[in-house]
Amino acid sequence: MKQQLILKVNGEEHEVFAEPSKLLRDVLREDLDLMGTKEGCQDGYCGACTDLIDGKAVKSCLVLARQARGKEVTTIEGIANNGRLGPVQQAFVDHFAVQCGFCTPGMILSATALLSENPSPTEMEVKRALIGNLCRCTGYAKIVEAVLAAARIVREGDNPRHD
Amino acid sequence: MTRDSSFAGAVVIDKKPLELKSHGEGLNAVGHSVTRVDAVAKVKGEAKFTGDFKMPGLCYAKLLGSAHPHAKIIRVDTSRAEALPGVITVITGSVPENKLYGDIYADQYILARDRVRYVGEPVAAVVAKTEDIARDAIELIDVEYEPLPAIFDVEESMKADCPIVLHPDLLNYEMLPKPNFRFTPCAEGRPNVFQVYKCIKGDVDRAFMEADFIVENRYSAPMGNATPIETMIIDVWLEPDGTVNLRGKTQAMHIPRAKIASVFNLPMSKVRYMAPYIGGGFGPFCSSWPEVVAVLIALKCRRPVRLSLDRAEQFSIAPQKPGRITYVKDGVKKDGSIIAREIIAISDFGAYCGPYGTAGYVRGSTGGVVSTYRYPNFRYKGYGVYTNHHPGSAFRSVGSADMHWGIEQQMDIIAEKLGMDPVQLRMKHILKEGEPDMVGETIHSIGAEECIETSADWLRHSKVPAGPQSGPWKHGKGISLAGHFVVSDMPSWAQVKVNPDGIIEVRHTGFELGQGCDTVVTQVAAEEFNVPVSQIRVVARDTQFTPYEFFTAATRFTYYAANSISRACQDAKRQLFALSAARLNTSPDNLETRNGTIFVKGKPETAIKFGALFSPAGFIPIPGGEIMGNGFFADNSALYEAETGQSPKQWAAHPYLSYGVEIAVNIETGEIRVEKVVGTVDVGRAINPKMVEAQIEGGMAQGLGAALFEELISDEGVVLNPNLVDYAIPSIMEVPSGDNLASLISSPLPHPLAYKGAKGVGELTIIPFAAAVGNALYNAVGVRLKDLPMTREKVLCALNEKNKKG
Repeated sequence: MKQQLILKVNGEEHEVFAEPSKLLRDVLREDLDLMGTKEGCQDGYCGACTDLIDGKAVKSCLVLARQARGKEVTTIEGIANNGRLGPVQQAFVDHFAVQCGFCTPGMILSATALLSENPSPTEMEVKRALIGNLCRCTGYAKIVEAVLAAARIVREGDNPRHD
Repeated sequence: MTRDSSFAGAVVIDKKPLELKSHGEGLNAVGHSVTRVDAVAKVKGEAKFTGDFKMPGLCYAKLLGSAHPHAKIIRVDTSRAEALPGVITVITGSVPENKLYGDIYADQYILARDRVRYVGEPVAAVVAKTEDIARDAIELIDVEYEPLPAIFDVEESMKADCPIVLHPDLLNYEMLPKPNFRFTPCAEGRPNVFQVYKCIKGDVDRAFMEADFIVENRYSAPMGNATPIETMIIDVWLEPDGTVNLRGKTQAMHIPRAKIASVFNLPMSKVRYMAPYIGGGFGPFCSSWPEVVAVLIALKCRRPVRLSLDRAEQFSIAPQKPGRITYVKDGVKKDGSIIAREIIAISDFGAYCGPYGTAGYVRGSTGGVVSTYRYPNFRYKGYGVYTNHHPGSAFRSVGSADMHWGIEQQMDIIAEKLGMDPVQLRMKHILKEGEPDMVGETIHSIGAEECIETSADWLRHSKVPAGPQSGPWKHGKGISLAGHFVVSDMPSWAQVKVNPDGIIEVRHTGFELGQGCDTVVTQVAAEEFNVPVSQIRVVARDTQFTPYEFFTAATRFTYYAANSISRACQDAKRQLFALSAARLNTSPDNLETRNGTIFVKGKPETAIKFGALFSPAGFIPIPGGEIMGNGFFADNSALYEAETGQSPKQWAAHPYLSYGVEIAVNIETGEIRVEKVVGTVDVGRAINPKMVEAQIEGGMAQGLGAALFEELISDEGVVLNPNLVDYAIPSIMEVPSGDNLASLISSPLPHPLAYKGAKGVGELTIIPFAAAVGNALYNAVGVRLKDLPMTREKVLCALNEKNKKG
């Protein structure tokens, strides 16, 4: 039976009615129309559905929506600020780290979580942070480059350009 | 595959400055690494893929796959499934609309009718209010089968006396005309062979007798999965006037569109297909499957319906990258010349070839084999064979990567026997500009020499890494080279509309799979109109509004579309100039355009804006009519000789690529780590160099997966690893990055037909990767593997064998 659920997503509170077994991914996509969270598999392996819960990267297909109650959920739609790209987003654009774009939201959220914990990651630390996000297009090299560039921008306090 | 193993530490590279020429010199937009036009929408999560569209009343379809690799269907009982609340309808192969269809041979029913030929073959479809209900209902369908003997060994299946004949009606199947294609069902009296392609030059048998030595090996590559991160998904809904609308994941909407019209007897104009962004393609979405299945379902349930495959179904129901066996036999003279080469390539295309276009790939995969090296005597035979495996789909390079796994190791084996540098051996055999290739076509725009020299140079100058050196880790370097083809016979149309506000609108039907086709299109139009790329708008991928284009595959889009779009731009400019000539007191051919203005050549002060040509209301150009340029480009082949495969015109263009790799091999565990990679590609001209680099890096990673671990394992036709854990694709940990990677583009080259020389790149970049790793493995530890993938187990077994022999 559907239950009421209050979720805080991208800084805004939402009331939804969902089966208790409903995945966070499915509530975000189906009930809140936040389509940036993608579905690439059903077993938590591809990482296309990665979102942030209290700043930590989680695979939203492995979390029940009700487990996110009382927490801050951030999806890709919550990363840009008033239309202004976040530093990781801008670096992905500038460094050609985007191809088909299906893994991109998850990649950006995993990288965002990394940089909030570790603003000066090494190449290996970037790789370790993104190990759970599969990409079939890019070969990852430009993604690594973009995350390292974003880290430099965050450290130097540069404001990302307007899109 | 261990995911958490750390990549071998920092590597010091002494990068020699490489003198590769710029691709953007003297050009405004082409040849420059312009920011991708889709990048901002994609990083914001706003780019829409098929699954992101919502529709009132949308129902969900799921397919029931056969439980047997080969069986008669005795009975299908759908009553329990139909009784499940929420189920709308259950459809089986007994519906009257069900029929044999295919793109070349019509050899498969839309839903299996009386016989199934692979485990997973769609037997029934359920439509329900939710995906979960549809899934549950699938479990409630009872199918009674009578199992038949099945065959999985492709070399047994191709024999003339194979006791199991999978398609007894093969000779009677409808064969659908395809340009410059020869049907050869049951060739050489082999009942399970649906297609053969032969290419013969000179007298190979005689040359083998004259050779000083022969090198002969059998190589294999397994069945695999393309594994885009977005899985298959198609939405279908009907209009009150009977129009069938599709929105879905495709690389080829005109192929399914035409097929749907003919299968269901609909006027083509009443089949509309639109495609949003595609979450990775790599081949399997070039066919009429499963669109034809989805439309059958929609016509039966008369509701909007979504047919999607989840990840497990993508591995177990969908067509797969076929397995391939390649025999390579070479006759070599002591002076270092290969005087004869024979290749026999046997492709296991599984249960069906029709809906998947695979008959065409039997020849398709030879495009690079015949256009890279010179052999005075050459013989190629390619077989397309039925078995009870999953149907084969296209996958990046349609088997050329599997053949080069053999060919490019063979080059190293020969070089070693000759005591010759493997780069030198290759250089000695690379075709020269203007020389005839192995099918008798003149070679144009061949940059193979610069590619291999550049890669070899990078590899030579890369110092031994500081990573694991001692103990069980042994290092080795390997190199490889390959050419590929841009396919012929598949025309392209484009339209260019000039708006009063100065915006140039390009209408095209290339699929944005991630390769960046919308950006390429934008750059070409910006180049032709002398405007910043921000002045270009792309309208794409809707059969109702955008012009015909053949598929976005076979490395063809850039080559064809850059031509059709530049021609459409020229047509639009002609119209603009005709409209403004009187006003500027000159003749149309004395005008030029820049930044949305038209002016007399050399007199920019005479400039008038595009808007001035339109009425004050801004709609109608004066005198009348919209400014809409049309562009068409075709590059047709000549039909090849049946017995020799020779043709003066076979392929549109050939790009080339050389990989150099350095690997570390653990002789205790058999693990191979690819530590460093250089890839140098000849694409004629890179329209967007960064996007070409991205193609190299992406193809390299797919090649790495194929080299080390990707293999769809099946037992009696049942896929045993239908998920991303057991069928691992490379994660970020396995792939070199930073200073361990160089993706390079050789100097621009002209080509007689390519737009500013731009040949294309897509598929090429997977092709010679596995062989480079194979050569590096031999270089590191002295063992050579011939069967992909190079798993730890195979490496260890080979090392043990070698140690036994001492």
